[in-house]
Amino acid sequence: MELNKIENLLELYFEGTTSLEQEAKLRDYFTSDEVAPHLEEYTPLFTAFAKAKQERFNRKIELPQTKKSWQWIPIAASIVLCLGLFLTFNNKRGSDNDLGTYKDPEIAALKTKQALFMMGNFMNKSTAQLDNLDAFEETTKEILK
Amino acid sequence: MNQKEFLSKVTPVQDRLYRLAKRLLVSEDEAQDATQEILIKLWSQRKKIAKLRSIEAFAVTMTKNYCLDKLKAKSSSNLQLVHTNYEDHQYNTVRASEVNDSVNWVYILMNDLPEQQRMILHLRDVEQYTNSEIAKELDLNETAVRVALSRARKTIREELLKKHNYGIK
Repeated sequence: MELNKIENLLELYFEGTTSLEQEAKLRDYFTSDEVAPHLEEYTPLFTAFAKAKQERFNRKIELPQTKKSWQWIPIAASIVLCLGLFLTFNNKRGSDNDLGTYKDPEIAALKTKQALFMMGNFMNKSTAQLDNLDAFEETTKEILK
Repeated sequence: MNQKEFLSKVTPVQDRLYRLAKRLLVSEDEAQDATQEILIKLWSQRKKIAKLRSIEAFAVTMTKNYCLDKLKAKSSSNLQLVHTNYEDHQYNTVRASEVNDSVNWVYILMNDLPEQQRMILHLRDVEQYTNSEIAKELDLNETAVRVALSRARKTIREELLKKHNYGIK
């Protein structure tokens, strides 16, 4: 390209009025081997731009895994739970008129007694274990006097 | 959008994002961190991206904002030493040792430009964006872009000539 044309383009370039194509021409000229000596000081500028464009991002990116499948699990579980509870309670109330009552008062009294005995047995069994706690008290008394 | 689609959309853009980040943050490592961060952010917003015509403008704006935030955080958390009482007529010795050729010198001069001019010069002369694209991405009007571009180019030229003639005149 003629020298005065390049000089013209340079002037426009520094005014910021060149088009992208004109700038490409300037880049081509200054990255070639035949730059006029008095324009040589501009070569680093255009070389730098051309070189900067060759930089690459070369780190491997790791995208976080999608958690899509997880967020539905609690919702599904609660629905199943509600449905299950609803069905079991509904079932009992609806179909069963037998509440486990006895018609004969004597048998009823006997059964009640039996049930209370059983409860009492359990109670005694658990309170029996509390006796062991006395051991603590004794030792503290010994230490503290 | 699945991971494969996302990557195919993002791969052509990621180098540009990285170069812009590096222009602003200077450090290579920081620029890589920033790019990765931006890509992960894009991934988390992939539903929004799927609707966009071009992911590039969106991503560039995002990178710009991210880097400027980073720079702001850095300048407010670091103590800066400002020398007001001595003049350095020669080029800073530390820098002089960094410069092994005049191409690198251009990058260093670019890093001295105000952030906005630096971004504009980079987007225009390295990435070859049109002024209207730059204006849109940086939220400026086109005249402002042109003026900043001209100012940035002239500053670089001036410094470059100074360096070129150093020791001659």
